[in-house]
Amino acid sequence: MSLRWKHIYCGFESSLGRFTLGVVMSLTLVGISKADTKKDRQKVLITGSSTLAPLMTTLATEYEKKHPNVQIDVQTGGSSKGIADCRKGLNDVGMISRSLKASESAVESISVASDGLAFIAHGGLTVNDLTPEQIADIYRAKVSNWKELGGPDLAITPVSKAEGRAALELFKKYFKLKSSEIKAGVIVGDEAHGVKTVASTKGSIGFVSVTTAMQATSVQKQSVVKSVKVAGASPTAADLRSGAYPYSRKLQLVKCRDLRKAVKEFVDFALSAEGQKVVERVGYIPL
Amino acid sequence: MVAALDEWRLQKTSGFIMKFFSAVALCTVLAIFCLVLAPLGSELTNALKWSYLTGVPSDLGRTGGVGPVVKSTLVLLIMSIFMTVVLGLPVAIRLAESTNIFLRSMVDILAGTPSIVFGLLGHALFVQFMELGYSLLSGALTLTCMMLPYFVRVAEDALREVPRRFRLVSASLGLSSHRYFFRVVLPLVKQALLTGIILSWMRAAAETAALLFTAGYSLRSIQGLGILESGRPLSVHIFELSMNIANADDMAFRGAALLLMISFAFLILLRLPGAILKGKSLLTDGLVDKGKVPNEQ
Amino acid sequence: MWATYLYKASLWLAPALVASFVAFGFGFVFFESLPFLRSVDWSGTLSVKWFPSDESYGLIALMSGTVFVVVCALVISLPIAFGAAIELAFFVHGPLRSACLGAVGWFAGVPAVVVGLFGLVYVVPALGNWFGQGFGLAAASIVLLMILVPPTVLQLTETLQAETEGPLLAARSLGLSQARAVWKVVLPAKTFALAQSAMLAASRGVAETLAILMVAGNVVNLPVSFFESFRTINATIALEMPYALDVHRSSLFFLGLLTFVLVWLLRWMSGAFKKRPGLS
Repeated sequence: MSLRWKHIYCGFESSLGRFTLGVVMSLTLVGISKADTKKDRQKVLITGSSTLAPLMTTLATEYEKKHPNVQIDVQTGGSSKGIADCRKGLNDVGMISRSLKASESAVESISVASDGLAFIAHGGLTVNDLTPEQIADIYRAKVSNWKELGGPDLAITPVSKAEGRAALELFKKYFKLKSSEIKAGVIVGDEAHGVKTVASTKGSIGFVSVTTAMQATSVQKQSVVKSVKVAGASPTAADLRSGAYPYSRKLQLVKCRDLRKAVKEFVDFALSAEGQKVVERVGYIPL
Repeated sequence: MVAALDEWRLQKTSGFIMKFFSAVALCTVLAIFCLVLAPLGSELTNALKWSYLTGVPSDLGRTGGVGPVVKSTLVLLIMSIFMTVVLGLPVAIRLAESTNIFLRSMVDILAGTPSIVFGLLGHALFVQFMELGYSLLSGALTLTCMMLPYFVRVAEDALREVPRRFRLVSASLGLSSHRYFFRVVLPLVKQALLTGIILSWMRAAAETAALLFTAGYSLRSIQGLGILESGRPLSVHIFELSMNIANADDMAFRGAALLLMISFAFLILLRLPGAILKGKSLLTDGLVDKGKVPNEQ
Repeated sequence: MWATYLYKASLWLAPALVASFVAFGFGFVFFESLPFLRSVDWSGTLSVKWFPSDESYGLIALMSGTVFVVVCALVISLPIAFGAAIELAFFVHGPLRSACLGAVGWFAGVPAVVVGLFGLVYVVPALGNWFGQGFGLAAASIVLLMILVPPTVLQLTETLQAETEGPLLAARSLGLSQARAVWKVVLPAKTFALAQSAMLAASRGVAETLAILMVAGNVVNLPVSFFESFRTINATIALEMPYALDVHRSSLFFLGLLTFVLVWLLRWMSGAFKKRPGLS
């Protein structure tokens, strides 16, 4: 019996059709799995913070262009997962956006980019500058209307981040607040979620990383969000570097053991002048 | 006489109310979705450009294309559908043949499990325990588990429609069970199975949380097709662009438009053989029309 | 023949695989929540305070968040879904019907992320302008409506037309108008199908995580108003899991266990509606 198109389309009805279909599928699956498995390919796995992940992904892409036999995979999961995986040997390096806790001592950190904590507010707000005490009071819900701070008669909606997020930990540390004291109006997860939330709520104020704030306020059409100065200092690269803006942090890689050659070379690339140029190009702040 | 007229008026009015209400409901559904699709619509033409489809993302995804993402998505699509059908058909047969409360509850539990739990489960089972690592295979396996209940439900309904006497007749003619299934049952339920595939794909195409922890987040310029490689599916890419990267809204919508177009193309593709060879409709599945319900006149 | 053996083998192998996956799933979630179950102070769980870093694990706010949002979403989406399905099943015909069904089928494929994004960028500000705060039950219900309605309409349209031809023809031939026939003859026989549809939509609503996360506000509160932030169980797991350690992580798995229980409850409730299949 000769093979016709209808045997493929209406495949299952005839044994010849089934046979052909089976062969085709198996070949496809084998082909797919065999594709691209170069034996001498070095693999690097990096897991951790979602704030640092886009940067590491870009660095990885740039690096792979010059070193085609290295394959770098970046996965998210959060700063704590980065550290936990590092300890368990489940990744090559971890990414974190907060400082190491006292209990995390067996881990060594390598800074890759500068960053900090920035406050953003809804674009229509007339208040541009706040003192740290005012911010703390806003989040404690002691101040609930912008008119108490010299602004319009508009209720304040403080936007905070979910428990355990690095930015929240940083915020609590710098402003000396406990979790139970923070009375947020809205709680968000990732960076841009925060930006969009602040952009869509009049009278809202929230905190994100300086990198995100810079990126969010740089494009004209996105000017529904503006960054808020704290005691006169703005969350820009210049003020961070000079120390005028004190809420800084470093975006870091963590390692728990000696790095393999391939991994070490990639980390060196990230820290090199070329790597730092990439950092700046995608909107992050170089060291 | 007057009573009859009143009765007729009552029927007419209540009939009118009902039709009006239903029509309004339908229009609401359509209107809501046109609203939702409006932001996507403007990005639609951009989404279909070749440079976008095959290009490489740059500037964190704010410019450039989504080539590697599309590759990962398609590989996931093919693998998970294959596994869903292969696993789901026997389950559906079992459920159609006998009332198996245990199996049915298992399937229903799968249907009601939140996506995030699937992500955690998939991660624990496929990525860590089975040591598949972050890979498209882990993602496909997790997707299969999510798609299964939808496919099984449709397949089971279709299998139940097959009259019991067919089984008896074929047995009396000497057909073994597997012959019976492939040669008698399958041609009858093919259309329904296609619907099941489409329905379950709809569920899985947009799945983000589960895939983030199994297939992974990794985005490389040269995405191999290896199933043990990690690859970023389109839904994760959309999520990343809208939730984690500032100023990437238009790209996020573009990705969403692309995802919709992929689903649409998939829909049409599956119905194409039926439409060409048997004249069935491309947009709807034959099942819904088969009622041949009488209409208004 | 080997083919028959393969067929028969797959007939028990596939269900076995599925069952073992579900068993694994349940076992894993249970096992991971053991540390929490062992160390928790059960009296504390009956409160509204969810502050894992301060050891306070109040569940009431979270559970009511999930339940309330599903109920509200069902209240607004079921009438629309049922109405649309009835319209498509019995009152619209020809090319218009194909087009509508195709459109609805296509809409069912809109990713939850996109619907959530739409909610965040358009619905929340609009609600904020009219009612003060946009985030909350109202926005979440609307977003959930957009996710639940298309699949329900599709599935219901098909179910409503199953085995309806006979009775409907009979009713029409007796002189009833289409609307009357549908209302008096077809629908009463389909209560089980309608209830099952509702339960399916409810399970889908319980399972939805991301879209609600984007518009709910996510503050741990009792959702007493439509325009106040609240949080669902799934959102808690999604937001806190990446950063949770030890007991906190275990408590999130316990929340997952709660979701399982909710789904079982829904299944059991839908079973209560069951009649003997077939029209009387």
